[in-house]
Amino acid sequence: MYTALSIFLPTWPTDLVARKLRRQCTESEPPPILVERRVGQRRIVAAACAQCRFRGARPGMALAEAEELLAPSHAHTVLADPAGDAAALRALAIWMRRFCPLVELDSPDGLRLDIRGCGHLFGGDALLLENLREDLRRIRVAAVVVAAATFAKAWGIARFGGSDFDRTQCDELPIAALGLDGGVEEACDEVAIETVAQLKAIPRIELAARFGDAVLTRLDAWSGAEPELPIDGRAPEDRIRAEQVFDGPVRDLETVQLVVWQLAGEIAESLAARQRGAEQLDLHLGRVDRPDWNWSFRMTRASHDVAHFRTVLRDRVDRVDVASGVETVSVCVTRNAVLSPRQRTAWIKRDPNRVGRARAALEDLLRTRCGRDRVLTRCLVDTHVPECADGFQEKTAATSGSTVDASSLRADEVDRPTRIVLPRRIEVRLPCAETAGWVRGNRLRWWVIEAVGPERLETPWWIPGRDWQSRDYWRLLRDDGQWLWVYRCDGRWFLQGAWL
Amino acid sequence: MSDYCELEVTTNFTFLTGASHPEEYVRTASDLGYESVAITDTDSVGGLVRAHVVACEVGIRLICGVRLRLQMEYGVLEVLVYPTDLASWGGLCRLLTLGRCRAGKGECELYLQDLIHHHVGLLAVVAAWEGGDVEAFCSLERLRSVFDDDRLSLAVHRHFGGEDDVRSAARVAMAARAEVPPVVTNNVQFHKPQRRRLHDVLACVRMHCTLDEAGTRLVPNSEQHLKSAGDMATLFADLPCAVSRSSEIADRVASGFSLSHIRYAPPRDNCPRGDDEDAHLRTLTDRGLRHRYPHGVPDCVADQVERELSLIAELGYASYFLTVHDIVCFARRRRILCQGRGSAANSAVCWALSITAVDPERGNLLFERFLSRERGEPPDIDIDFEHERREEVIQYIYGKYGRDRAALCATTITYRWRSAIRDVGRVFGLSMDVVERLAKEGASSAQGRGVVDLAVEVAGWLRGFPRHRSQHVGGFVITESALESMVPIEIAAMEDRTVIEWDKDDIEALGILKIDVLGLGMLTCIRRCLDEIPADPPLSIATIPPEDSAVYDMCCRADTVGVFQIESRAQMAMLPRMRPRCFYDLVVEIALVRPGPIQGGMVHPYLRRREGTEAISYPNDAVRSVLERTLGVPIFQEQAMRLAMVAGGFSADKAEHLRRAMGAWKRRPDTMRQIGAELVEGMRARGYEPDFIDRCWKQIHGFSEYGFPESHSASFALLVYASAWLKCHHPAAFACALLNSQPMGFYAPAQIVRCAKEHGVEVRPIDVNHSVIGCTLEDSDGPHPALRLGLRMVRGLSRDDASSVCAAVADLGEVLDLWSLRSRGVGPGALRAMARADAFGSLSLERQAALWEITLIERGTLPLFPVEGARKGPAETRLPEVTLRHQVVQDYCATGLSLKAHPISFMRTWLEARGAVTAGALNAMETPLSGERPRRVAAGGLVLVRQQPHSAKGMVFMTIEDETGIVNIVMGPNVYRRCRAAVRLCPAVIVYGVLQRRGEVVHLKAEVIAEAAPSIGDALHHAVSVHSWR
Repeated sequence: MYTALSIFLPTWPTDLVARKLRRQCTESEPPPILVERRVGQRRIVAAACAQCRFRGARPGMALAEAEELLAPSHAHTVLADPAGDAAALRALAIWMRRFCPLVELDSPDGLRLDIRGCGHLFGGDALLLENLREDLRRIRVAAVVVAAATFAKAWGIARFGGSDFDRTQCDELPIAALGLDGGVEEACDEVAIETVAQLKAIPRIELAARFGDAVLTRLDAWSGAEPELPIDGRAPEDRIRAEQVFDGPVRDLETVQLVVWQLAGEIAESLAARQRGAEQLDLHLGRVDRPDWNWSFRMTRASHDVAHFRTVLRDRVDRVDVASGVETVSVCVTRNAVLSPRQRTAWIKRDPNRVGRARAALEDLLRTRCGRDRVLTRCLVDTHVPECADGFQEKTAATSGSTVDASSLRADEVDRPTRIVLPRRIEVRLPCAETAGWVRGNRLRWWVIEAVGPERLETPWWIPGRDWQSRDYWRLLRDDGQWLWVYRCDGRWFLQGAWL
Repeated sequence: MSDYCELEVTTNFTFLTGASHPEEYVRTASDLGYESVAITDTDSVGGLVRAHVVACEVGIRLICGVRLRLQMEYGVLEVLVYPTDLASWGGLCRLLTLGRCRAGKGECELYLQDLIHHHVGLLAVVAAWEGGDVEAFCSLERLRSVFDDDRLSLAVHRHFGGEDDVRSAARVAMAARAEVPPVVTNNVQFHKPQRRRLHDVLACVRMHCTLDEAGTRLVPNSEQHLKSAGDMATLFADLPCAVSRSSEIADRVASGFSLSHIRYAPPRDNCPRGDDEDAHLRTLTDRGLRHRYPHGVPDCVADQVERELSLIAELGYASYFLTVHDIVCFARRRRILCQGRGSAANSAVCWALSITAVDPERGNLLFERFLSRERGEPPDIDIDFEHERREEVIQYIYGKYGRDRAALCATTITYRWRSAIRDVGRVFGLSMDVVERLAKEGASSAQGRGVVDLAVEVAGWLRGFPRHRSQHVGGFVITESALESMVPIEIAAMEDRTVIEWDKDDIEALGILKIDVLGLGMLTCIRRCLDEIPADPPLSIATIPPEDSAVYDMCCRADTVGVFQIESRAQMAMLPRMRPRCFYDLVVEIALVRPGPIQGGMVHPYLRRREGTEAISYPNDAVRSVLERTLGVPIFQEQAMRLAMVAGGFSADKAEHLRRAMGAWKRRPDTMRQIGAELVEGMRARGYEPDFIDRCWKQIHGFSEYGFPESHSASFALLVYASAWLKCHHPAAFACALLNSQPMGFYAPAQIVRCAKEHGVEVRPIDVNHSVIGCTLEDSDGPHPALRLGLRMVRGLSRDDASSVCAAVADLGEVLDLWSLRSRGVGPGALRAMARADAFGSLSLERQAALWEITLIERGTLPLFPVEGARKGPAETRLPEVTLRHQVVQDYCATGLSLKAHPISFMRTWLEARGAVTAGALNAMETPLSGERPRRVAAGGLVLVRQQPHSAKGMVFMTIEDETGIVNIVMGPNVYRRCRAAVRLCPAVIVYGVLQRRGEVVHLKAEVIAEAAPSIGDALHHAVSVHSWR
């Protein structure tokens, strides 16, 4: 029977978006979805869901045109993410392995499967196809699944024929079903060659003279005269990984911990042997009756320190649910970097690098425990408003070790107090030529000898909701020599800082 | 009180920096009680004239200045300079010209050396510098050694920046060390504190960041606005000398120089040395008149000429007329067709000098519309040349007067609503769809949502701000002395073009004369056509026989595709009702069928009176003399003026004032209202009926902006008649000329060819052995020559490729074989484009066979030994058969038209199944009489034109074409909304609706519009341009 299977996913990008939307809001049906991409200043439709296609929107159209066709309903528009789509397709390919081991990507919107010998597991090839279609329907991915004698035919029928296509009419498909390159298709179109049958009717010599051998190869692949390359279902092997497969499901957390402990040791050894440090680790637990558990962790610094691996991994594995049983455990290094050995200093007791390494290890632990984006560091914010001039940013490898560079401050930087507090209401009388001034507040009473200013600052006017203020700042010299920083706003005085 | 004068002011003519208009500064200064105010833009004098005009109006002195940015080793030094007399103004302009020409478009590159070379007569104030104080001190000393006579000062600023005391003390100390007096300025960037928001937004636009990201790059407070003298005096209470020095400098400048000192002198090149210009002009005028009237000059014309010459002599504009005459003579020598347009056609002198073509005897000229004593404004002559040869004229002008005496005037491109909201929205960080929606729907769609409101407010201020300068279409300024001593010149983006910094309003305000050198496609077309007609002596526009009734018959039938001005859909709908029978009818037709007159309620009364259904009455004979020739309806600007003179008692110049108020009524509604009140009062005082007054006023108001001058209409009517005569009597030559002058006009080549065929012209397809690049005429048996389409109609064939094909064909004599063309150097791409256009008919190669052969040629060289069977013919190759439908679609894809059949003929069965009739049948149908049910019909066709005029209240007009003719479709806004997709995107539609007939004009009022025959329509999608909105 037919063993070359081709799966065509006509609305793959929009199906992914629909899944995301459904996860966020489970009740309603997702709205019509358009995926756009930018070409210079123009916004073009890259993919459209079935509903949009029904109303006339097509990929390649200008976004404004498509939106007009869909009016009055609004389409949910998303920016194209080809990398995300490809990653999701890879995940789908892995999921397909339940039907047959030989699965290959036919990017960007299809898969190829070789189902020779797998049919009997499902009670026949037809039932395998039925199950496949049912499963895809269940996860709400629109797909056309076609089995044919050769992959080329299956590809063509899936895209131009449909699931229940009459095989005897194969040759009436348009020549685009052969997957020829664009120039050849155009040239054939101009001389009114539209179907595969018409192309076959042309003597091979003439085709070769005009279009080269590629066309003949495709025609042969179509009819099966030449064999096609088999599918290679193996994953690339250039990763450093360690794996342990159990004989039966293990329900004991301690055993799993032990195995992880051992695997971490193996990994660290192979890393050290290659003089590389891991930057990203992937831990994979294959569970029974539950989806596999994956966890991927990004290190602050590349390292091959086995104790560090073990600490990090153990902490995470503690929280996995292994009640149903674990069958395989694998640890894999997905990113690594060169880590050449460094000489420790001979004469100084303290190793200057140790502090850095220890701090990196601490950050990794904190991030594991509290969450990836919860470890922050201080930074300077460029703004006129004094109380907003500092902020937090996430501590990543890029910001580790950075401090505020003194030379990065502007040369004409105005003088700011060493300590800034939240504005506190006070009363002030400025000193003039004859009399001294004073500052009075909640349990404060100071005499003021000199005043320097005013410096007028206005808070940002473009943030609605926040009151816009115009503040006149003064530097006041107390009689005991300390300088204060106060401001007046709408006739009221506030204390905001002091020089210590 | 006014012991202080603001010397440092940046307007929005320093693009994307200043946040207020020059006019706003002047008015604010006047409100604050200043006697004078300065304007100092960076490296530019663009805003000075506007400020000057407003300053004269409010009675304040304008100090002209420029902020120069000098490039030094340590950074940029900013120096403000002010000219004290006309000579130093010239020096400043030369300095700016030097900087701009050195740097290229939009930039200016100046060094300290340049300022030192041009320092004579300038006052300078050193304002700011980058880098350290030490280097700046050295530059200050160098300047002091050059700027003697107390002409140099150092600016001191206080903006509440926190270090004010320290900084200003440092400056004062530096000034003392360098022995340069300090002066107080405020570095004003906006005229009132609230505008600081716009200043921040402009800074972000300039730096390409959002407001949140800008941080400390924005100013910390709003102190840089125009403050009152009292405030400045209080702020600088410790530096009273510096404060008063500002007004000293201001007095020194204002007493010596003002923009009204600039004197323009037109070039004297065109008068023989030693002759008086007025006498020379008179000589040329007499010669011209004798040429125009070989049998004697009529008295009225002679009187008119005499009056005009004396006025020209009095106002001193003789050289201007001589200059224009010289340009026109050059064009005539080179056989470039040209014609004056606009108000210049009111002048009999221009007629005599062959600048314009409207005969004073035939037309009714009002010279005051063109030139008058009290206007105090220069005359403005616009001339249309053939659009393809306009460049020759421009280069002649540059060549004759040199680039130092001739330049184009500039146009300031300003922010419109869309560009303003886009830039502002981006700066605020609004998402793109919100911005797009605001851009499309205008400010009203924002609904009080905080940030969006703010953005809309700021964008509203930004509207009307200059964005950048560009060159004017064709306005030339030519001077007697060096132009760069009057205004700086800069290099424009286009090659070989130099542009002055002022635009046409500015030069008009200063009394500088300009000549507009414009291009008109129809002149090119007419000349080509005249060249094709074999006649001895050769035909010209002037020798075309006038008042030919066959021509007017053709116009009444609305058979005017390709005719100048009356080919649009609106005109074709009006012609059968207007029924023009004489030249003046054409003049009226052009002026009438435009948005303004329809809104002003002029069209229908005129038509009714013409058809005789409404009585014509005049209150008295004076009014009759003005309105008689337009049946009592005022249509032209001159009539409105004359009406005001005759009925309202206005003098000629006051009437001109009325016309200008009409033109500017949107911008200055109060002027219009005031003059309108005076007119109504004057008419009432003379005893006219209130009804008549009311109607007149409404009509005058209605066409304020859109009314034509009669002279302009008459000039165009000459071209309308000429093109109509050529179409009527020489349709083949006319079609050939039209096709060769594309792109121009209202219609695509397909319609021009169809029209030519209807006039009995045989149209022959493109053929490699017979066609050249342009369309040509060939001998034929019929009454008219045959039209052979040219290679220019092949899409995808560049001009170079077409020339190589023609060269190869000429070389070979006759082409028998594609390979021979290939071996003569014609590229495979060119061969493929021609094969797609089915151009190898004379080789007995059909399109399919030719393309099949070309795929072989494209592979490269021939195989060494001929492969057996590689070059069989198509029949042996068993290529599939090509249907006629496929061929027609491919014709459309390749050339935009097809001579074999019309695409709609293949849809005929589909259309008939749905009840559609042909266009011919529809246009011949009878409408039921009133009282019976309206007749419902359907028609299908290719969409030619879609129109949604702004003045039409949402109505949409469409024209569709099938194999028998065209149908005009009208639809209301509801129908458009319902069927929007079909109307906007489909190349072929079927329309169901109600038949409406008005005399000979038939419309289909649409109720439902749908895509026709989707399977065929899809193929046409690429062939027919879907975006044919007008």
